[in-house]
Amino acid sequence: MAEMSVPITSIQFFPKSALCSLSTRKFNPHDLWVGSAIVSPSPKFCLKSKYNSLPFCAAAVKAASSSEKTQTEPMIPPYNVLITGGSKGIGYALAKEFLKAGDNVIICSRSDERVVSALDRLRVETGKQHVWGTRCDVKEGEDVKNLAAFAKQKLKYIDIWINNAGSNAYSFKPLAEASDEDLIQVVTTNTLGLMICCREAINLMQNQPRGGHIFNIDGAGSDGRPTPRFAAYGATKRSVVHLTKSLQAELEMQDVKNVIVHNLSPGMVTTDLLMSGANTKQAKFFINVLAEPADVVAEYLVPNIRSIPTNGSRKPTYIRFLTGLKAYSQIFSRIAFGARRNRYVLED
Amino acid sequence: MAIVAKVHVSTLECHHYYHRGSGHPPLSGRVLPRVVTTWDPLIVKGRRRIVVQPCRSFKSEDEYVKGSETKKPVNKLVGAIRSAVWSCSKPSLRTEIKYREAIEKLEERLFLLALYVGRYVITMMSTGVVMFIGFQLSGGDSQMNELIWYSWLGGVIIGTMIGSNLVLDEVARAGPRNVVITGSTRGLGKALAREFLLSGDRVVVTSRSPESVDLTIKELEENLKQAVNAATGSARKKLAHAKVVGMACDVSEPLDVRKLGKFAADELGYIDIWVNNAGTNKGFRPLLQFTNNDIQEIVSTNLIGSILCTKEAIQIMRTQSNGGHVFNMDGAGSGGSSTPLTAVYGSTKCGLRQLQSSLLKECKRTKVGMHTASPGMVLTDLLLSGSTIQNRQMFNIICEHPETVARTLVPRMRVVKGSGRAINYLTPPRILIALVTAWLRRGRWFDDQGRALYAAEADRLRNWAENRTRFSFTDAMEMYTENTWISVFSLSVVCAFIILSSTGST
Repeated sequence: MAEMSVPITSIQFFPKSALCSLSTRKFNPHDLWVGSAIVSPSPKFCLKSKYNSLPFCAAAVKAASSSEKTQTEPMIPPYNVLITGGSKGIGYALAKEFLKAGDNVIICSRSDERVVSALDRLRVETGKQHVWGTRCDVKEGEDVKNLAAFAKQKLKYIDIWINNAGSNAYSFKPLAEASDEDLIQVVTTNTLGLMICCREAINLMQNQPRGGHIFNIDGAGSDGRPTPRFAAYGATKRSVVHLTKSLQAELEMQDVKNVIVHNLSPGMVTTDLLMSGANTKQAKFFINVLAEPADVVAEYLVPNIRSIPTNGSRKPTYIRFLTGLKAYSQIFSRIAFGARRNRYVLED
Repeated sequence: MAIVAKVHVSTLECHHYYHRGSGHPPLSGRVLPRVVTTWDPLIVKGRRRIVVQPCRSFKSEDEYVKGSETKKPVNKLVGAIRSAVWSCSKPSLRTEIKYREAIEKLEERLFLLALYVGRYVITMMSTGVVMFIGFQLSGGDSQMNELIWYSWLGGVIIGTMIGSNLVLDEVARAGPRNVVITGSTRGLGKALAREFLLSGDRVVVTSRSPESVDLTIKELEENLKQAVNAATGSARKKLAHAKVVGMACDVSEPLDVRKLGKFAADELGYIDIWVNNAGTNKGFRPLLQFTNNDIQEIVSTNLIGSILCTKEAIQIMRTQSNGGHVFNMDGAGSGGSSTPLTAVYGSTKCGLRQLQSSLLKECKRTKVGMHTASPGMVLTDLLLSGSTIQNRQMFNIICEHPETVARTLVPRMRVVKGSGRAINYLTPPRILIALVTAWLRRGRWFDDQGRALYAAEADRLRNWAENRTRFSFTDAMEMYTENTWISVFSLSVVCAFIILSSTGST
């Protein structure tokens, strides 16, 4: 998957409408984007690169290694990876994959017990010891500062920072019926927490000789499509994608070249967050057809994430697990052959 | 087309007339004011936009049933004439003064009737002229004549549509609205509150600090008093129900928001329009330089505040028989384009746009309308704090005062129907004009050094009444709804078709 950095533009013309009409009725499954490519570079960013006057696509890989002026050290494995909210779900799966690949991993969670138990399980399942964890509530500025300090103390530097902590308060109901506490929790974790994490991550990485990559995990609604029954969640995830975009522009304006902000789209993952919403017919259909277990998703995402520092690439990317083509073919095979029926939840 | 053009011209004329009449003491005794009042019902549209006292017709709260009012203007007219004639002929009323009053009233009503008839005649004549020209051009070709007759029929139908649209709009404008505006003690919120208030609505203002709420209430009441004093006749009657109340409320606190909803419902009875205007930005700088508190305040005001307020508004409006309308304010980043230096603000506004689309689906079968209002760029603290000289040069071209924006947004917010409408200040014609006149707009608000050239709010308000009388071309273009433009366009296409096809045959 490392060679996927050349954009396949023809996929962009894939019809969107059919999928929209199917998916957005009542339940909008996570990540039904019809993307341009698995790793789609943003041309705007590259065109303005001062060190590189060649057309960016052809020279992307070369350019990165030739423009090492600001970067004193190239990134070489093993990488130091920090994953917020890595005690369960997709974050846990990512941590496991990174460990298997030989990287050093730091995870965090809101409760100490969950951190400890996650660390134990990770050590047992992977047989590797270089994993650390700490308590951190991402919406508390102090906690995040401590997390960055903890990371610095344990690993000296962080190459890959994944903002994974996200919440839906495990409730799927119309906004008017949602409780205030849930709404506040969703927004503070997903938006406020992510912003503070991004700030701390940039702060930390700016001063590292190796620079760093920040990955923000998106979710349903980040393409702007409606997400009824979890409106607040969708709004926060939309704001995540927008924040990534703004940060990319901001870093470019400030001439910061060694910190790159990316988007990461795991698609629909059969975590608690998604499964708690499996109570309507449409939701069940899409979960069965499109969702994958966290391990499968992580097995795909981690090599893709690792390929970015390996290639020395400096352009912002949007890594997607569930691409449009994949979603279409899965929906087609379900309708045509009844594949994946009752895979995770019983349909009637 | 004739109808539209005519109505329009008449509004302007009588509007000036009105002002001359009210500005100086009447020259010829009682004649002038009387004429003025007679014009009233017809110029609502124009006046709504241009004069200090918007919105003429006023229905008491009991009549507040939207659906059944389409035919009212005509019925009212007939009823009024009948009662006027009746009171004239009653012997008991034939004392000198009462008789004169009754006669005056009759005269007034008859004048109104004559106006309606005159309008009709002119419309008919203009269509007749168009048809006559068509017949002349067709040169007696029977097929062509048939075509002309059909297009005449089409024209009549379209004309009726436009007419009924105007009437419906006029009816929809009537009556006071109960409005809640969050974050309305300064900037655009205050301007919106003032505009709603002067349209005869009952307004709830809120802000985090109780002191500024009190100050704002006092100031708005003062404005209202001035407007009432300046108003005459029906305009004053319309303002009779206007009032402003307020309470302190932090929109990011669920308890505060619930209290606000309860307060508004208790104080006003029901809520028609809820505007989520509260928003904050904390200056223009990179994310790294924002403190935790800054980020938290922006997110909690913009995103949490809007979500909680929307939720509260939906909960209240769902139980109301008339439903209601919720407006969320757009801002930089709503469209999805990146907003460097205001990353936090931009991403909250972008999230709000997605929220709007989700809520649109959730509220599909309810009477609650979810809308967005986009004020464009407004010269408020939010925009100006931390802006550079280069920024300010750009502001010269595209920025407007909050009062100007509110004057455009409020009338359309009051009459909003359905759900999912976007009410924008910066519409294509406005942007076009701004770009075309960019050269003239240099130094409009700021000079080369970025110093503000415009008057403070108090001074602006003093000149307000005069400013409002100035006719704006873009306002006029905005006056007609999209449907009307489509009708006008199709009508002109029909006309063009007639002319083209007839010239081709001869």
